[in-house]
Amino acid sequence: MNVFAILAVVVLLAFIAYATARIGPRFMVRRLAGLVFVLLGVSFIIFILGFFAPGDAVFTQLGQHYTPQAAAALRHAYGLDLPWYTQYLNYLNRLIHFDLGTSFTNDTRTVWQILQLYVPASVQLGISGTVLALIVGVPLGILAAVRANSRVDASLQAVGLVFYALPSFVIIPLFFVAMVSLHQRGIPTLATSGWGTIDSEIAPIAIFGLGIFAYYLRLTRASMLEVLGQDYVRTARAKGVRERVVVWRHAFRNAVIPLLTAVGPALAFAVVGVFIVEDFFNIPGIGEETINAISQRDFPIVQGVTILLASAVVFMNLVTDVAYGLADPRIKTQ
Amino acid sequence: MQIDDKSRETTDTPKRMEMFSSTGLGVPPMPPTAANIKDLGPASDSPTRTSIQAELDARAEGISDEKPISPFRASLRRFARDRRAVISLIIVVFIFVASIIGPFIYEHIGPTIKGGFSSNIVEGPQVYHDPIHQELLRSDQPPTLAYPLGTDRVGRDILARLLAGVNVSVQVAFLVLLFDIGLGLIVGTLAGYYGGLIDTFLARFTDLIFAFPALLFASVAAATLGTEFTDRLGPSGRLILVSLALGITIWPQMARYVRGQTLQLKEQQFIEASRTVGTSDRGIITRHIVPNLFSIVLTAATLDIVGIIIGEATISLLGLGVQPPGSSLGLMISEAAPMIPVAFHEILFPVLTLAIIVLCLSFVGDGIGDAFNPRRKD
Amino acid sequence: MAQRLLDVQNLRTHFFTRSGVVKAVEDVSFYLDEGETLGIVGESGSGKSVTSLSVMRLIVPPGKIVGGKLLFQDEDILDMDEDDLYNLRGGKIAMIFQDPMTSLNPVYTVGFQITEAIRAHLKLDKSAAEKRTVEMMDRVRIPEARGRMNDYPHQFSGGMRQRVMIAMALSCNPQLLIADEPTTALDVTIQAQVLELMKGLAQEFRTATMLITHDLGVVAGTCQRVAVMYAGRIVEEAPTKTIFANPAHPYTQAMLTAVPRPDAERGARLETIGGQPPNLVNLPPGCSFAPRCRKAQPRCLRERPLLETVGPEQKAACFYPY
Ligand SMILES: Nc1ncnc2c1ncn2[C@@H]1O[C@H](COP(=O)(O)OP(=O)(O)OP(=O)(O)O)[C@@H](O)[C@H]1O
Ligand SMILES: [Mg+2]
Repeated sequence: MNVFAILAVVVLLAFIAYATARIGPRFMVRRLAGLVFVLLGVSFIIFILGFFAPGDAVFTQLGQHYTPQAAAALRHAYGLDLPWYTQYLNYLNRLIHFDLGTSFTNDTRTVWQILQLYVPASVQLGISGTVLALIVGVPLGILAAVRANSRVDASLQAVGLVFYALPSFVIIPLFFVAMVSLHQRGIPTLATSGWGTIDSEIAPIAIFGLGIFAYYLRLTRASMLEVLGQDYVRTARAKGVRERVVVWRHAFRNAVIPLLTAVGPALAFAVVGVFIVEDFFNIPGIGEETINAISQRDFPIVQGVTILLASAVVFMNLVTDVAYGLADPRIKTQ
Repeated sequence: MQIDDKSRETTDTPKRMEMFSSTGLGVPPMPPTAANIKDLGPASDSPTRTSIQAELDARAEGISDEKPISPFRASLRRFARDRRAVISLIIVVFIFVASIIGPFIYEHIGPTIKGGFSSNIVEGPQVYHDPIHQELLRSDQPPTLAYPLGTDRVGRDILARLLAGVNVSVQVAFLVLLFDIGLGLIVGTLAGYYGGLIDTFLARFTDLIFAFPALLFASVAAATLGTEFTDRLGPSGRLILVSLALGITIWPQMARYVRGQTLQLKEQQFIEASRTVGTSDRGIITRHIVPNLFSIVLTAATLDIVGIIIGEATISLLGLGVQPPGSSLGLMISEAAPMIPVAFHEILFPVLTLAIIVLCLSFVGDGIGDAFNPRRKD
Repeated sequence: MAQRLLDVQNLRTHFFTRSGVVKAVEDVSFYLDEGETLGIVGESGSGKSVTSLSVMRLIVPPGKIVGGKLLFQDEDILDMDEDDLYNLRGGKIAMIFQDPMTSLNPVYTVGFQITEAIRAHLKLDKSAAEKRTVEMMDRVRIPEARGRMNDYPHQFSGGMRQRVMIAMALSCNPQLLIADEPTTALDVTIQAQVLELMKGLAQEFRTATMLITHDLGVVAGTCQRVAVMYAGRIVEEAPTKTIFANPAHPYTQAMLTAVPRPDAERGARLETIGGQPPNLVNLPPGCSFAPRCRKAQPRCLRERPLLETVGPEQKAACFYPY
C-alpha cells in the first residue's frame, strides 16, 4: 500500500459521505452498486482477453534464454499455471489491495510505478486541453444559441461540426504540414515533438482541446436552445428582468444540467484523443506506453491502464451524477 | 416536506360547473352545426349551394396536394430538398463505389514504365497500379502521369493504396453495421417491449461498455486475438476481428435508441387496438413495431458509420488493425507521418480522403436526422 | 367613462418558417379600458396567445410583429426602447400563462422567483421584497406562505403553482393583467377556485384583465366584453350579454352550440365544430371560415368581410350576420 492509494481512498470516502448526506442514501447506494458492477465487469473482460490470448509473454520475456524449464518456472512464479478462475480471483484479490502486478517486459517495475511515471503527462494534457475547451466552447455555445440562425451562429456551427467530426489524426497531419511549410519559409513555428516545455506543450494541448471544444460547443448550443424555448424563460422575460439575467440566471443554470451528464462520455472521448496526440507528438504519456504494452503483450500494464481508465470514467460518472443531483432540486425529493 | 395541496383545494369546491353551463343568459336555439350540414346534402334553400360545395369541400380538406403522401415518402422528399445532404451523399457513394470497382478499371489506365532494381523491366499499369507493388527506385515521387497521386516511401502507388484502404473501410463498416443493426434491433425491441431481465441486461451492459474505453477494448482484442483470427480465417480474419470488436462497443447505443422508440410505440393506440383484437406479441413486434423503427435505425446507422470508419482507421493507425503490406487509411497515415518533412503529399491524400468521407457522412447523417425525425422543428 | 388603457390597432404578427409565412395574427384591433375585463375566445391556433405575446413584445424569431399599433396609455409599445420595455413587462403589464407546470423555473425557489419580479420594478431592498413576497403569497391563499417560500416549484401542485404565478403577476401592481388560459391545465374543481381568486384580486388591485380562454362558461362568468378570434382575425366583438343572446357571426353561433351539456366532463372545448381551422400559411381569398360555414355564399369565397358594426356595441366580420 502506498500513500497515493490511501489518499485516493480517503478522498473517495469523504466525497461519498458528503454526497450521501446531500442527496440521500438510496441514490448513492444504487450508484455505488452500479460502480462496483462496472469495475468487476471491466476487470473480468480485460482479464479474459489476456488469458485466452495466444502467444506467451513468458516467451517474449525470456527471449534467447528460453528453455522449457525456465519458462515453466517463470509461469509458476507469475501464477500463470493456475486455472483461469483462480487466476482471476487472485487478480481481484490483488486489485483490492491496490496491487496491479509487475510488468512482464520489465520486471524491475511494478505497474503502479509505471503508471506513476507516465500518467502525469497524460493527465496534464487531458486536463489543460479540457479546461481550455470548456472555457472557449461553453460561452461560444451560449452565443450561438442566443443568436440562433444568425451568421455568427452559422459559422460557429460549421466550426463545431468540422472539429467534432474530424478525428485528431486528420487534423494533426494537416497541422504538421502547415508547420513544415512555414518552417521552410523561415517563419518560426511551434514545436511538434516532446513534452515538458511551454513551447512543446502548446500545440498538443490546443489540438487535443479542439475536438473537446467542438463537442461542448455543440452540446451547449443544443442545450441552451432547448432551454431558451421553455415556458419559464418566457415567464422570466414577462416579468421584466433584463435579457442578460434571463440568459445566464434562468436559461444557462438549467442548460448546465444536461452538460454535466455529458462529462462522462466526454472523458471516454478524450482518452482516444490523448492516445493519438501522444502518438503523433511523441509525448511520454500513458497512451504511448499502453500502445507499446499492447503490442508487446505486457498484460499487467494493459490491465492496469484499463482498470485505471474505467475507474476514472465510472468515478467521473458518479461525480456528475452527484453534481446533477445538487444542480437539480427535483432529484433530491424524488 | 411535501404538502398535499390537492386535497386542501378540493375541500371547498363551489358548484362552479353548473353555474357556467346554465349561464342564464338565454342561449338562443341553435342551428345544426356545420358538421351535420354535409349529411343533409346540398341545402335546398340555396340554389348556388351545389356549385360552391365542391370548392368548399376542397378548402375544408386543407392543403389537399400534400396530404396523401405517406410519412416515409414525405421524409424522403424533405431529404431530397436538403441540398448539402444530397451532394454529400452523392460524393460518399461515389467514393465507396470507386473503392469497389475502381481498382479493376484503374489497373488498365496508365503508361508503361521501366521498373525493377535497375529500371530494365517494362511494366504496364496492371503491375504498378497494384496496391502492394513496390518500385523502390521510384519512392516518394510527387504526382506523375503513371502515379496520379505519387508514390509512398517504398514506391507504391498512393491512389491504388487509397482505393484499397477505402475498400477496407467499406468492408468493416458493412460488417459492423450488420452486427450493430442486428443485435441492436433484437435486444432493443425485446428490452423495450418486454422490459424485465433483458432490459436490465441491456442497461448493465451499456454501463459497462460506456465505462470501457471503446478504443482500448478494440485495440486489446485486436492485439491478443489477431493472430488467432488470421490463422483460422485467412487474411481477412483480422478485419473480421476488428469489425467484431467495434461492433461490440457500438451496438448498445443502437439498442438504446430502438428501446426508447419501442417504448413510445408500445403506448400508442394502434398497438393497443391490435392487442385487443388478439394479435400475438410476435405479430405486433414484426408488423407494427419494427417497421416503425426504420427512421431511427437509419439515422443512428448513418452516424455509426462515421464512428466505425474512424474506429478502424484509429486501430490500424496504432498498428493493431490492418497489417502491412495491406492498406487502410489509418495505416497509410501512420506510415506517411515520418515523411511529412520530405514528401507531405503522402499523408495529405489519405488524410483528405478520410476528412471528406467523415464530413460528408456527417452531413448525410444530419440531413437524415432532420428529414426523418417526426418531431423536427420548422 | 373609463380611461382607455390599451388600444391595439391593426396588429399583424407573422412567423417566418421554413414552410412559409404563418400569418398568426392579421389585422387585429381591440381595446381595453381601465379596470375592464375583456375575454378573447377562439379555438386552438386562432392566434390568441400570439396576440397577447405581441402586446408584451415577447414574440421571438421566427416570429415578428410586422404591422400595427399597440397604444398603452397613449404610448406605442412598438416604439419603446429596451429600458421602457423592461419597465412595462411585469411592471405595467403582467402575464399569467397556461401551463403552471412549466412556467416556473424548476431550479429556483418560488420565493426567489416572486422576489425577483418585485425587485425588478419596485425599489425595495431584499428583506422588504421578501416581505412583500410573503404578503402576496398570503393574498393568493397559499397556506404557510413564509415556510413555503423556500420550496421549489415541483413541491407544489398545479393549482398552487398557478397561485404563485398570480402572486408574481400582481406583485408589482400592474395596470393590465393578461391571463392566457390560466386554468386550462388545471383540474376542473381547482379551475373555479383559481379563477375566482384571480377575478377577486384583479378587482382589488383595480387591474384590467385580458382573459384568454377556450371556455365560454368562463367568459360568461367573468368578462364584460368578448372578442372572438378565428384564423388570426377577430370575427366578432361585443358585450358578453350580447354575444350570448344574439351572436352575429356564424362561427360564434356554432361555438355556442358546442358548449358542453352540464354532464360533459371537461371544460367547453371548441373542437366540436366540424372541419378544421385553415392552414395559416396560404390563406385563400375570402372569409377564412367559409369552408366550415353553414351559410356560406359565393361572395364569401371571393371577398373578405371586414369587422363592422352590426348592432349596438356589436361588431362582426360577416356578410350575412345573424
Ligand atoms: N413559433 C412559432 N412558429 C411558427 N408558427 C407559430 C409559432 N407560434 C405560433 N405559431 C402559429 O400561430 C398560430 C396561432 O398560435 P397561437 O398559439 O396564438 O394559438 P392559440 O389561439 O393561442 O391556440 P391555443 O388555444 O392552442 O393556445 C398557430 O397556427 C401556430 O401554428
Ligand atoms: Mg395559446
